Amino acid sequence: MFKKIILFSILLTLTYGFWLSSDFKEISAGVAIFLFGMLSLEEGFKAFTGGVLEKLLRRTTDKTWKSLAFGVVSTAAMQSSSLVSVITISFLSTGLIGLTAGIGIVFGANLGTTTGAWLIAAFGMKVNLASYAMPILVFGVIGVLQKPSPLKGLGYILTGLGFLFLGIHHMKEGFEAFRDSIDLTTYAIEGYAGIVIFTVIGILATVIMQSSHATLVLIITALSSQQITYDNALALAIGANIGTTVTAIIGAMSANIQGKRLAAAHFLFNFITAALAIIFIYQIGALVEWLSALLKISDSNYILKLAIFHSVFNTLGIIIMLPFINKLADKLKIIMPDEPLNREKSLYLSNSAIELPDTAITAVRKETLHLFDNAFTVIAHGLNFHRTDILSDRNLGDLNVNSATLVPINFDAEYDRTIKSLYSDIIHFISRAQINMKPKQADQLFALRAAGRDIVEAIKDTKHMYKNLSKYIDSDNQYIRGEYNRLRLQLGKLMRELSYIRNNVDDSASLLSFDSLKLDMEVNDSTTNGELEHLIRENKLSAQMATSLMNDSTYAYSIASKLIEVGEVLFVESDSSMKDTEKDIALTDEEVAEIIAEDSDMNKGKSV
Amino acid sequence: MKFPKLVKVTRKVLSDTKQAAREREKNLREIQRKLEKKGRKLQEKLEYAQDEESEKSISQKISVVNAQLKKVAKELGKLHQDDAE
Repeated sequence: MFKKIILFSILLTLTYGFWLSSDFKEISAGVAIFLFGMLSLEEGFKAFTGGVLEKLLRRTTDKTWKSLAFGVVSTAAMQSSSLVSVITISFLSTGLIGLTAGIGIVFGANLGTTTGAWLIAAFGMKVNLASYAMPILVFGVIGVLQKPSPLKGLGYILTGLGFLFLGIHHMKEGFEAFRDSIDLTTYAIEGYAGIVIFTVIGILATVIMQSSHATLVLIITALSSQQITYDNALALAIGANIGTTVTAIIGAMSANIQGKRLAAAHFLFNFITAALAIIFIYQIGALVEWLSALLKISDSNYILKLAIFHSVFNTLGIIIMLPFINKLADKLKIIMPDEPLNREKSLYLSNSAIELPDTAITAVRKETLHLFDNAFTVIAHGLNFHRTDILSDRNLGDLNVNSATLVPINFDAEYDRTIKSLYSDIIHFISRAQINMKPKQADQLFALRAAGRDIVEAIKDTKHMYKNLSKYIDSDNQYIRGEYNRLRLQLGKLMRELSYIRNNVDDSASLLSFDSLKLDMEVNDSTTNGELEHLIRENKLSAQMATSLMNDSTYAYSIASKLIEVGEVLFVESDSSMKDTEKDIALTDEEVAEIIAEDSDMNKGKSV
Repeated sequence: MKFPKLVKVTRKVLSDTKQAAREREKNLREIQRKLEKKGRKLQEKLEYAQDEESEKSISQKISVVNAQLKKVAKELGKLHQDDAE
């Protein structure tokens, strides 16, 4: 409701402003076109990089200085700190980078964004940008209409640049025309009062436009048209730095606790830097004068001086805050503690990850592993094991089972509580994420979706099996009791092997590790079927018992094969060329059958 | 396509194929090393197996590793044959 009132008030003020002054209309149109250009530029970089940025980010965040450099370079190259922030938040949310690295990137992005002021100050005010904007826009739109992703991305980048140029041109024109009717410098306020008031105006302008870049361009164009004083422009730039954190805070609202911590660090950095800049504004001003003289910038070139000021106070902020980056991260972890692990809620599927294909895939993989963990508990209980029993070294066969020790489980309630909503979150996320993906990435997502479906199917099979298992596990008939006990033991051992493969730290999980599980599964199935035939022949089982056991051995086989398939998709993270080679070496069903036949022949030979 | 460009493209394709073969050989050697290590560990385990059931289970695992090693050797042989040709 509050948001709607604010939006309505802004629209009303703008409409009144448009009616009052055509120059105000031109300036506002310039800002709107500039913001649209930034959106287009971001869209282009997203399509154009095709995961390059994500790969770079993954490799360059092991040391703080690398994270910082990544923040500076990527923001300077893309001229969008918000895109870098969004990527950083999504990486943090999915656990691909740590908080310290994230904070380093955000610090760097703050410095990288100052390059925009340099570019506009150095070229934007001297050149007639509109004359370049038109042809760039034409080439850009042709690119946008193309199908191949890189061309489309390039098209968006060019269109973005075109709109940025056009926006700056209109802002410049508007301010120059404004100068003829009103002199805004008459509203200039001297001293610290002016600094504080204009800082607040800078904050508000950035919050409304959701872009410090746009605010800065507005400040530079107003300054170049002498509509604001240099001192007030400095204060506005400080305000823009604080205002930009609001965008990050809004972005972090949908992120997990890590994203929220990063937004808090971003706010703290910008707030402390701004506070220092206000307190020492005259000293920093003197430093700017000295640097300007060193760079041979004329005394009256306030635009370039503003760009220097913007860079200097952000650099000072980094120099002051960088030594405390680890302490800041630790403090934030204490102030904003980890949320208790919620089995029912998704942990990694954040909106910020959707836009980045590789990150989205990692998020889905982690969430499906979360689903697997929940299913592991449900299936273990369905087999009358405690999860801890399976994960321990205890001999599963030694655990005494009877109706008194049955693990109580309500499958439907457990399914609704820990599986259903999580699974539907994953499916919903996949359907949204796959739109931006290349065929190879979409294949990975498809495999993960299939793994999720297999997990759910395995639970359903366990539920079917549980009905007879709980009935016959305590039966007076020792044969049926023994057979059901064997089925649950086989599955319990398989689950233990799977968790061993997953957690094997000495040797990363390999596709080849699953071959012996497949062999076990086939051997178990054939043993159960052989034993069943034998018991029927010997009249040891009633017809009803035999039918139940026959059905349930099929369920057990299905659970085993689904869990193995899930493991193959979720646990193996080797690079794609290694995975391809492993696929070629992994045994086929026929080869597994051959080994079983050879072993059986050998055993027969031994017994003879 | 002009002749120099055709030569350039052919050279690139050939070098890509060679690089892919080199990468595959590297992967196969890595798999072979890991499987041999796994096989040795299983053999040691087999010697200390305490009951028939675990002996059978370990023997099965050794059979799987041996079958996989055979496939690796076959693939490596194929690669060397292609190289010779």
